[in-house]
Amino acid sequence: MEQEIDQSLLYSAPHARTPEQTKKVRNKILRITLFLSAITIFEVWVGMVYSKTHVGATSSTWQMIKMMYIVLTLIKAGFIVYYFMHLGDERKNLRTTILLPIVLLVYLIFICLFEGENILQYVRDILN
Amino acid sequence: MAHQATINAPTTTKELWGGGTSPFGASYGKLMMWFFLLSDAFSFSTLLVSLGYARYVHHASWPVVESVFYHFPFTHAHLPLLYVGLMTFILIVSSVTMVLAVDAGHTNDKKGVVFWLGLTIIGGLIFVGSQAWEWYTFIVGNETGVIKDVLVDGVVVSQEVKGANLQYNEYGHTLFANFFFFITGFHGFHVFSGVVLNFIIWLQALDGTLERRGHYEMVEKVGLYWHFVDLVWVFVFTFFYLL
Repeated sequence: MEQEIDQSLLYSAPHARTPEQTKKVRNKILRITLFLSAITIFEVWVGMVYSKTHVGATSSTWQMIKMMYIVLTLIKAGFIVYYFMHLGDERKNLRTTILLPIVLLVYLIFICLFEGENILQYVRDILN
Repeated sequence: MAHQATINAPTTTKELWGGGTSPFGASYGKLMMWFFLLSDAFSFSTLLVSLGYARYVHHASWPVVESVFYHFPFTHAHLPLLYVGLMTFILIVSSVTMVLAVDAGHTNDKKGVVFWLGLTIIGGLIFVGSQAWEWYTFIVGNETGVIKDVLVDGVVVSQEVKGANLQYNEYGHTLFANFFFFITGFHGFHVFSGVVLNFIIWLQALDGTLERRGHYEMVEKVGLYWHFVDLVWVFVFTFFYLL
C-alpha cells in the first residue's frame, strides 16, 4: 500500500460485452443524437419564423422565446455532460466535485443581473 | 479483471481516502482533464457574462444578430442563422462519433476507434473551415457600406464603413465585432487544438501504441475535451447568435 500505484490500473472500462449489450448502447447513443439534433433544428426554425425583428425585441413573445432558448440550451448541455461525457457513470464524489463549483457561475450571473445597473451608474459617474 | 476488484472494493471513507486507491475511481489523467475543463468552463462563462453585460449597456446600437449572419456558402439567398445551425449540427454529430470511438475503445476494438475517431477529426476540420468562412464573410461585409462616424487618428470622421475590424464595423457597436472575434475565436482555437489532440491519439491508435498499452483510456480523455468543446458551442450558439 505504501508505493504509488500504476495509474493505468485504475482504468475500469468494461472490456467484455455481448452483442446485445453493444446494440443497446448504440441505440441509446442514437436516441440522444436524434433528440439533440431535433432541439437544434427547432431552435433555428423558431429563429427564422418568429425572428426578433418580426415579433419585436420588447414584446412578451420574444421574452418567452428567450426563456425557451435558455431552457433548451441547459437541457442540451445536461444531456451532453451526463451521457456523452459519462459523468452519470462516475462516482458520486467526482460528480459533486465537478458540478458544485458551477454554483459560483450562478452567483456571477446573479450579481450581474442585480448589481449591474449600480456598477454601470458608478462607471458613468466617473466618466462624467 | 483482477484490478477491477481493487477499484470497486473500498466502501468506507477510511478505505477510500486511506491511500493505495483512487477515491474518485478515476485515473490521474482523467481527473485532471475534468478539473481543466471546469476551469475552462469558468473562462468561457466570464466571456459570455461580459457579452451579456455589453449587450445590455449598448442595446440601442447592438445589431439584430440574425440580420448579420444570413449568408450561406455557394448561394446568395437570405437564410438567417441557417449556416450557424448547420455548424452546430456538424459539431453535435462529431461529438456523437467521438462517443462511438470511446465506446469502441471500451471493447478494445482498434478498427472501431480508428474509424470513429477519424470521422470526428473530419467533422472538426469541417467546423473550423466553416468558422474561417464565417469570419471571412463577416470581415469583408456587404457590397454596400454604411456611413458612420469613425475615430481616425483621434478625430471623428464620417466615412463609409464596410465589413468589420477591431476599431469599427458596419453592423453596429464596436464591441459587437470585438466579442464576435474574441468568443468565436477562443472557441475556434479550442476546436483546432481538439483536432490536433484527436489526430495525435488517432495516430497512436493506428500504429498500435494504445493496443500495446492494453486500454484506450487516452481516447476517453481527448473525448472529454472534445465533448466540452461541443458543450461550449451550444452556449455560444444560444447567447451570441439566437438571443
